[in-house]
Amino acid sequence: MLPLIGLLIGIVLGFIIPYSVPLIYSSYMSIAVLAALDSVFGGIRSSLEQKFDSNIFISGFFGNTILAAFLAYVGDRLGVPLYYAAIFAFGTRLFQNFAIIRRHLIKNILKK
Amino acid sequence: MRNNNKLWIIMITFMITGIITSIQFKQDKNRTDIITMKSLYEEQKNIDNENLEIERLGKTLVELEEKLKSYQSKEYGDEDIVSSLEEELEANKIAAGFKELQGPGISIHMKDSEQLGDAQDVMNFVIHNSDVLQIINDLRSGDAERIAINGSPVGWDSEIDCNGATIRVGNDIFAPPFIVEAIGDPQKLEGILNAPNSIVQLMKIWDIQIDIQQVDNITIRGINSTPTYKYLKKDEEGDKR
Repeated sequence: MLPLIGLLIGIVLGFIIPYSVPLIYSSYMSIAVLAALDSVFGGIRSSLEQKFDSNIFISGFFGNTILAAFLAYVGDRLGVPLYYAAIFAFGTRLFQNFAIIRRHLIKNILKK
Repeated sequence: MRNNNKLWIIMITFMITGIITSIQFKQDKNRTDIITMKSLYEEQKNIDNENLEIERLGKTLVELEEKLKSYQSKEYGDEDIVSSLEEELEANKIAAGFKELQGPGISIHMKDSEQLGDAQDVMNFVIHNSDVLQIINDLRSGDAERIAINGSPVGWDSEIDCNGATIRVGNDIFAPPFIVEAIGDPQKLEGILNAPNSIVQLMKIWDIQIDIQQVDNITIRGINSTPTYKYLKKDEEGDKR
């Protein structure tokens, strides 16, 4: 419950803060958002499986976000579109995690 | 306690996710493509060019303002007005091509091919008005300041038209051989004409004889016909823009 409240507060804060990312870094930022979302979904999934480890979650969240943005930047400099790799990896995992979360939720509802 | 701590940390991460997501949401959605370094560099170049243009216009503005000031000042007599108008007239005459001018440049001699091709492709072995037009175009892109064909100056409104076996430049009709003269940077002009895939190279394939020479001093006479306008009208409201 608390994380959801945090998410809501964050979204509201983000809209209130009069700061927007410079257009140049916008693409790296979008990759970072994708990585963060991936971590969040992974966290929800592991918590449903009773396997949640906050250390893994936090390190994954920050590590993935920073690494994804950095890789996108490096790829840009090298002329290799590495951000595709990030999009595929995180995108695939997002859907996978979502599928597993769905199954867990359905199981829980049917148990009741 | 420890568990509670963890919860807070997780809440903070969720908050961060929310913040960056909504910041991304606020972005201008007109540009959703990834900006590459290359496009960024090109945009930067465009901006630099625009800035140069602004600088140039600013200089012009300062010049004109100074002129206006000198016009408005008390000690500005009739003679000054006459002399400054004469100066301006001279400058405009040069700009419009009414004055005879000299300078370094190149001269291009062109002759039809001496090969007799088959009847159907004999057209390929003669010089057309379009060839001359393209050569003029190349010269202009090489910053040629004055161009003449067989001694007849090419103005801003000269047409180059096909007239059977001859070409018409403005009011003058010429038959080959054609001599195109241009005042400008000789090296640059020759380089542009001889570039790969240029019209000159193409004409050489058809065995049309072209000889390009750099000349130290070319004289091109002024245009001697004054343009008359039948359809142009002045804007009634004047150009107050």
